[in-house]
Amino acid sequence: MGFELKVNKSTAKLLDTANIGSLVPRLRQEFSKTGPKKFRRDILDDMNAGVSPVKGKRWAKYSDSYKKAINTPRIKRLATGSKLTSPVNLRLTGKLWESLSTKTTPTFFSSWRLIIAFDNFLADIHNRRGASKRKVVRRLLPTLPNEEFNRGLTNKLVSYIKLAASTVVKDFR
Amino acid sequence: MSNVTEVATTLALDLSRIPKEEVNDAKTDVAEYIVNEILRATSKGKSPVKGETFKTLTEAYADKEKGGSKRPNLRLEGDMMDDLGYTLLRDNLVKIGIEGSQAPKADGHNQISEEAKQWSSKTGREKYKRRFIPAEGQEFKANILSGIQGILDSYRTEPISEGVEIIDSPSTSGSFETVDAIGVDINNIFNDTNLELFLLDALQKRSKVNGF
Repeated sequence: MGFELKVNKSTAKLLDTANIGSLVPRLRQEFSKTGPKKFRRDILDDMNAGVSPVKGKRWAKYSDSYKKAINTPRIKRLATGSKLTSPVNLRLTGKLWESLSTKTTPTFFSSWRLIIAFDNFLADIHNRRGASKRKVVRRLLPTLPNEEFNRGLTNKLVSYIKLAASTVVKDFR
Repeated sequence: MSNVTEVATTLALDLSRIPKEEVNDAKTDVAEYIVNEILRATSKGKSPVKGETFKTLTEAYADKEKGGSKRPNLRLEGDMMDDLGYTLLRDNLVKIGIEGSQAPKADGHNQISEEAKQWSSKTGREKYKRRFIPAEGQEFKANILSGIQGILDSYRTEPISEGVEIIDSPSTSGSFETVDAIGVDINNIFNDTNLELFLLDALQKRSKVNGF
């Protein structure tokens, strides 16, 4: 996702006098209030729609044998949703979903970080090792070099940062 | 059901000022974005097509097939939406839609072909039209169109202008960090330089509104 900014003359003038860098910790703090939580919701919304959070990594369909297997009454009782086979949402028991967390490190750390993680062994199976005998990989997070979140998620994240930035500069002189 | 073999829309993209070597990437990026937006919208029971809405499911059908949920997400077995895809055509064209065995089903929902229209009219099912592929003369909703624009703009080379210009490209790519948890930290977008750009952007917007 490219982010492009053209600075007009009045802002350029402002740049000469303002110490914009001093606002960065406040921006991180403002973003931390709601951004990570909203972004978590966005990732789960995408998964619910059968959309891979990772750009260019569309999820493979469930195999016919798997669909048949999970459409039994015993498995249905375990399931969190009414429909198991559609879309591919990796939500049979819901434990994988529940394990997704987004958090930020304290803003006073110079190496401030937004961390997005699944804390469930199934994540590693889907994301890297591959599920079932066929070893089907369905990417959950862009953990490999050159991978990134899909456009929709990146746009959402950018919009949350922009929202936080507009709050921070509201009383900036 | 109709005998159509494809329900699709072809979009002509404005590829001006996009370097030749990046045209295919840009087209792929846009096509994938549209497919995802269709999946997102339909999963929420909304049409991605301007001016179209999805009628909620009847109570009887919702009880029988959807565990009581009346949200029409066009996913019973999931086969139809799983087949939603794209093809990069020549020049600036991309095709989005469903081909093959699921096309008649898609046509039934979209009611695009004459055959499907006649069938829905005969069976009184016009009101159940749930269009997720724009027909001729229709377009995707504004948020999707602006998303497409944003993607294409990110590939364009800018003409050299006189004022100050800051251009950077944060991305949300990460690196493999942990073993026990599958995590990623997307800190490129949050580095000091990029956050300063976001602040400047906000300042500019505020100055436009307030006459800074």
